[in-house]
Amino acid sequence: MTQGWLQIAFFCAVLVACMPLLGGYMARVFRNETVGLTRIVGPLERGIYRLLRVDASEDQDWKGYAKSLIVVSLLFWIALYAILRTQTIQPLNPQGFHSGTWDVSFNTVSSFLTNTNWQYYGGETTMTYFSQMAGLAVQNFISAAIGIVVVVALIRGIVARREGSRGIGNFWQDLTRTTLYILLPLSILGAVLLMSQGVIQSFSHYLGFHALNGGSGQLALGPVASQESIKELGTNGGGFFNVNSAMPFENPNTLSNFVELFLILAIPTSLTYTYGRMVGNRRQGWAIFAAMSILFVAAVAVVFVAEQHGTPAQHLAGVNTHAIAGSTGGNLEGKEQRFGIANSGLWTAVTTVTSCGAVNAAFESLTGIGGLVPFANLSASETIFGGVGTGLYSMLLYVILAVFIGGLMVGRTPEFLGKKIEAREIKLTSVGVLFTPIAALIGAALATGTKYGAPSVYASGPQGFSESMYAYLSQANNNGSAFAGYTGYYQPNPGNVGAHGITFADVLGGLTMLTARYVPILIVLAVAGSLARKKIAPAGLGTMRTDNPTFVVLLIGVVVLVGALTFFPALLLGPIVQGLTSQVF
Amino acid sequence: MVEHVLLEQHLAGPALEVAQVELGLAQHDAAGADVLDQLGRQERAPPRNRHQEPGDRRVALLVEEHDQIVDAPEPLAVAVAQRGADDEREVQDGGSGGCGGHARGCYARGTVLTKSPRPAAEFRCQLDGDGPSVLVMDILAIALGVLTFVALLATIDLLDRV
Repeated sequence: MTQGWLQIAFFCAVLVACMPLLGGYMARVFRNETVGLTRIVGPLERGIYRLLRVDASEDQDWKGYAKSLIVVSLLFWIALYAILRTQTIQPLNPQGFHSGTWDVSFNTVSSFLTNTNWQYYGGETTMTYFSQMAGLAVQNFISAAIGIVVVVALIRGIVARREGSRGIGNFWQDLTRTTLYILLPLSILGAVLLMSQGVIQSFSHYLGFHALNGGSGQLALGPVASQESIKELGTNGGGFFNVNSAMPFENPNTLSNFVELFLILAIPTSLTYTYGRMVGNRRQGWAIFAAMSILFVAAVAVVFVAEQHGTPAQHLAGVNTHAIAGSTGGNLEGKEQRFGIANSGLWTAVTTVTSCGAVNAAFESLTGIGGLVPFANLSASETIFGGVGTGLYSMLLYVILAVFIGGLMVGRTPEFLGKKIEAREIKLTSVGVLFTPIAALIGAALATGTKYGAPSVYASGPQGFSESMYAYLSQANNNGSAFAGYTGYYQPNPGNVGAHGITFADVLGGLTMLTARYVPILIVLAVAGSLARKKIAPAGLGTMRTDNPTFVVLLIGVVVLVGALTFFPALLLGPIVQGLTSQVF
Repeated sequence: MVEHVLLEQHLAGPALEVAQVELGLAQHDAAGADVLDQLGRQERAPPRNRHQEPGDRRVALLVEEHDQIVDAPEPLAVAVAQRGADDEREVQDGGSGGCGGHARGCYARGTVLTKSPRPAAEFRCQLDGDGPSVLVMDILAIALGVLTFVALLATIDLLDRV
């Protein structure tokens, strides 16, 4: 177990060490400063502006920014739907795959557009290489970039110094620079690193082979590394293969596992540093990082200890759960031996505190306590690092809420970085904080309370409820990980022929993802616009500081309290009831 | 609520799953299990454990074409000629008119096919059963997507009035 702790500590140390580097670089990109890549990427950037007929120097108000974002998203939604529904006429389709059904395509398009990457399908039996690369991988970039530009717009609103200022940046410029200067170079670097470790990158036909026992089969291949890198970097999470990063072609060894984990958390953690730089007070960024880190470390510790301890069933059966030569011991059901307990537990926490959702182990095989961690992380509504951009802007909404609550407690007008927090900001923030939980709970209620949800659920009793609950919690939080058991697609044969979607689950899930993604984004942009108009007042004696340990504790308290109050009743019906009974479901 | 969920589970869901798993296992045995283990996609466990893969996507096994058509349980096997209109529709999905030039992932005419398990009629959505053509459903799906984004555009003005 000590070795496991050391691995986790080393990972965290590397991550923190890289934060100033990447965070500082991103701050320069978002301030439109010249960076090392400007010489190479600059001409391409200017070419894109010319092509789009965009004046990148023009500041947009929040409404203009939001409308541009929605229109771009709509165009990409239609384009991706068209790609997924025309697979039979596409190039790069060596397996001759047909298209998925309309309803599962609706779900998949909404999923990748919203950075959720919830997958009712298995990639290697459903998607052509063209769909994977020109459709899904492109969306991995765009959806990640959109998350980042929203938080940048919010930060600009917070730091706007001129009273009556309306501009929060230019959406087209932010989207272009985020993609060209941050996501693209980092994902290329990541892809090369992953390929060096054995992640495949191939356009070849699947390989047929004969097994030793006389059977035959096919070995699925594909352009995996290029998609794997942005899948993790953009906290997208949609696997090229069905079993995601548990598949050796996606994640062959401990080093590739380390690289992928690093890619998942690199931008969400570094953005806190970027935030500190952009608001001119690095302690602000470190305070938010501290709050996120405390919750993250707690999640890692719980899942690691629980999985290393093993399950009650193992102990009852007298199974040895201690580490032995060649095995880490613990609860290895549903885990890859090459990763062991520590790297599986760390991944479980990382992928659910962020909006990634990629997996290298089966969540449903986690111990009771270990399985509660993904639930708890999703209940925090992406505030613990969260998705790229989405995590920080979600946390900043909670910061505003905490400032308001703190202001009420000390009896003063709440202020945040010199800007008064008034009724409009609090109304918007309250809706923004509660919208995702409400979307998750409504989805889960419809899925469990109507007869149409039944075909999607596998298990019975509280386990079945947990599966449904987690499915909509995951989709609403744009996470995409699954607790297994909940389906929206029956695919009896590779290539989609004869497949059927479960329309209810597909459409409800799609709408849940779209609304839970874009409504909070619009609210964040509205808050940004509102804050941008306010003048900055100098801090006084009564100003509550937002960069000290007291505020960090208050912030953690607000996050935990809101999560607990919104989800505790639902969790009671699922994992907690199951934990209190001796019945196996 | 727990009781309610239990009642629902005793109806369509588990029965379908078991049927699907049985079908999968039949194919599995025919194809050679070790092949699938090497693909890292599908375990040989009994039905209750079948769903324990991380992504839990209901996909069939990657086996040779002939393995998909033999030894299917009788209730789940139908001939091409007997397939419902909806199933024909899925075969022709994408406007290719069936298999076209593709050799894999397609059915050969005249073979016995494994029909995919479907939700029982009482659990099926109106849109999921027989009825409108694929093109109509595509138009409806796109319309639903566009409508969602139009509603989001309207939300911008709504939020501005807060």
